Amino acid sequence: MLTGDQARYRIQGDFIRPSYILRRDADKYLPLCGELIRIYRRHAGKARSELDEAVLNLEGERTDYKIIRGLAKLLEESCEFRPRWDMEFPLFRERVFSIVQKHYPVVSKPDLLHPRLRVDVLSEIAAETGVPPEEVEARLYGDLPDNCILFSFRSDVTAEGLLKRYNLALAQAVLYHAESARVRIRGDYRTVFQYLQLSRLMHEIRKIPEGYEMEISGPASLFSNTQRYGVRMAVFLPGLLLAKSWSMVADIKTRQGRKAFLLNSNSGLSSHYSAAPEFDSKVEEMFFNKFSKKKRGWEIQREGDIIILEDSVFMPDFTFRSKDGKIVHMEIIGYWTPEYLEKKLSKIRRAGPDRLILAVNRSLNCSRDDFKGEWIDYTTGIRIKDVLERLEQVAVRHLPFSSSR
Amino acid sequence: MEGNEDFPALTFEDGVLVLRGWRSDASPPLFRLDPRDRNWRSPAYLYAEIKEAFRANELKMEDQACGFSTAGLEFRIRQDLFPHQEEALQAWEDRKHRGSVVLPTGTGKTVVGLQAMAALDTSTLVVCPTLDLMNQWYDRITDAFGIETGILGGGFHEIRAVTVTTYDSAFRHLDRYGGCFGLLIFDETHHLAAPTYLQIPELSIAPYRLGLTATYRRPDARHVELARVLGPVVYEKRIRDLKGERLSEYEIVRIPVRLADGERALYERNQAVYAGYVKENQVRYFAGGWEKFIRESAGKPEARKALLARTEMRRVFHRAQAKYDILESLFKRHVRDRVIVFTEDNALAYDLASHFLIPALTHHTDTRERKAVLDRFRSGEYRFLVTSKVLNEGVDVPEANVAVILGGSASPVEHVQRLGRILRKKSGKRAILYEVVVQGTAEGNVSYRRRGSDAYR
Repeated sequence: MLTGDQARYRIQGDFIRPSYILRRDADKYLPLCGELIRIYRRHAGKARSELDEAVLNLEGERTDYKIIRGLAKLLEESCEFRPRWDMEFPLFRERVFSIVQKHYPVVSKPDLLHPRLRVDVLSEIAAETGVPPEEVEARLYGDLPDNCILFSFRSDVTAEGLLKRYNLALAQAVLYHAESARVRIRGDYRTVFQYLQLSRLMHEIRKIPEGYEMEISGPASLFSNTQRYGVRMAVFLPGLLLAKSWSMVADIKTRQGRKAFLLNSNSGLSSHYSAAPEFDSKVEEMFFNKFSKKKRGWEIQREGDIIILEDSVFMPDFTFRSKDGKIVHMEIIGYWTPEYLEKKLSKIRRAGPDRLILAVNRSLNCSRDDFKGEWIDYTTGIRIKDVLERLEQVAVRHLPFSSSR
Repeated sequence: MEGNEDFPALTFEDGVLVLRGWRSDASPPLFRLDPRDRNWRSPAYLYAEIKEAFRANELKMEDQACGFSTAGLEFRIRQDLFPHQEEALQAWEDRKHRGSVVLPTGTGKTVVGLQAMAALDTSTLVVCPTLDLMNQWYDRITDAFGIETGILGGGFHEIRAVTVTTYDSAFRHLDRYGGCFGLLIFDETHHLAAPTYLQIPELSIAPYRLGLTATYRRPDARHVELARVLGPVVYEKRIRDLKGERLSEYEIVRIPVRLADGERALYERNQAVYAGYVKENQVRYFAGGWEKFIRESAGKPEARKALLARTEMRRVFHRAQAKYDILESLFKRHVRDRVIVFTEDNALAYDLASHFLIPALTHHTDTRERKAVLDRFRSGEYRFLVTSKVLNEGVDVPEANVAVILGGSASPVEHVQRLGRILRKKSGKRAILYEVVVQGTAEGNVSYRRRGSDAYR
């Protein structure tokens, strides 16, 4: 991500917009990105100060130097810098200074009172420490950031990839000053919630006709507006980008007051995070493929719905929809640790098992008392016949969905 | 984490207090129900009040939030206090160990902080505006109590019973460590009133809080916010009440040096570009004019060239060969003394350090090495050292009796005043302060002087 001062944006009226590099400017910036990547590759094993100098040369008298610095910052995230020598620098300095203090001051112009020349002192240091005299000066502060070398540059990024990362980073940098964000989303819930959790953000969620709407903020947002969680939102953004259909409005605090930052799935930004695997297990995948192969009067959806609980959300593995609009969910319990099972069962109990089918792996040895609703068991694969039977039973009751707390 | 069967559990989570297992229909005092996950939450800084309210209402809870304890803080050497220091501590204790002490620079604020720590003997976080001040507190705490002090910031991430940090690091990390400290000390408290920094005390459960500053009041009146999270001003003394107590005298010697011919040519070439732009566009150095110029440099090619020319001018100025020559003769002259050299940037500090083979202290120097170097300087084993950033208050070395400032051509009064602190001397011997001034072209001097303290930023 960029540093705060590398952010580039425009404020127009009530809105704030990152100054993205647009497709029409790509001719100008793709070669620049390519050159910058080449500079980093070329400087493997060279001093950081040389690398910085090369980037500075690329900046030259250009007025868009801020862009170059931002691009370089992103490349730097793949760099590892290390001192050129593997040694204890503070210890070496201590030894050097204690030798030198006997000859204070080290002079380049000797006189009668100060006959010891710098070169003489250097060779004494060399003799006592085993460091070649011509290297003493370089090693003295060899652990300074500027004197470290680019040990490795681990990135296979292309010029185009870098440009994409940069545009994403510009959007992230605007979010640094976000106080809250409203996100509307349809589908890909597991991926998005996983990244929401990883970014340590909290949400308040409600159902809307087009899916779900979440208000995103952090723990202390409860008491007052704060930009504290802006960086967390920036970390979350690439996770959100993995969803196919979403939109976001973030409230950004600026010197000109609070401005809205709008972003949606058509904004053209791309993510470098990886999505949650589509299926948690082989059993789920096999069942889904088998079920959706034929027309059965029920349409199966992966992650079709969220059940909103008082204090959290429950995302059933599958949702079935009938032609006449009936909805039934299914959850597969195939894996377990005591805590996981306890948490899941508590959620299922609160989600209201009325319209939920559970498929439970027989090896878990669950008892009838554990679940109130309909459940089937399986060993290696879930039988379609069992599921269809339950679907009809549940649907026939025509119960309105309700949670049982 | 559920509370035990009878009591609700109070925890510190991600910067706020959470109460779990509250069974009554009435709200717990000072908590708010979070609609997002139906938990009771409260800002961390209300911890002491919450405990008090629970006690007053005879409500029970299991406190899992409290992560602080006795720290074993005992002075290695008994400290004698000045009357104003003793009064300040008493006033703070009388106000339940919460509030700010306002004392002029150089009158022993740090000692007040150390005494407060010893009096409460609890896990303490000391928060400072700069790495230099953080380092200084590290030295003082380590020396006073003989303990391993933790450091959060400047490359360290090490939490101990007593930890020093900066405002920036505290702001970033206190949602993790806000439960670990019973006492917070804020050095230069007036910085705390900035909206973001104000969240630092909010994120901590510390029941005891001490602010230390010489200038409590801010022009923007934001200091009124401090009372809410820190407590009121409990003690204040003006400089005229204390004059003559501690600051020593020193002599200032100004040494003019000249640029070498090559340097001068380079300087003048760049100066023509820069001054030309400034004149043509009437760049002003006040009322936002300078910021405008910087902004324009990201759009107008001429402005960009002018800015680069200015950078080059400064570089020539700051790193003039003459400075090396004069330093060599000053070192010869003061070979029996204790000399600190101040530069304006790290690059020059390290160049001089490598050239003369003497220790350099900059913000890159880690806290522990810094202490080792200063200890050796104090003992007289090292007699020369070079450091950057004249204006910072971070170096406090009474043993030094010669200071050399390798400056530009202007001489802001305040840096001379601040150096008075560095050269505090016990033995009545007068300290000397050399100011090495590079004589640029006449026009260059004018331009520099006009910029005033900008040259020392």
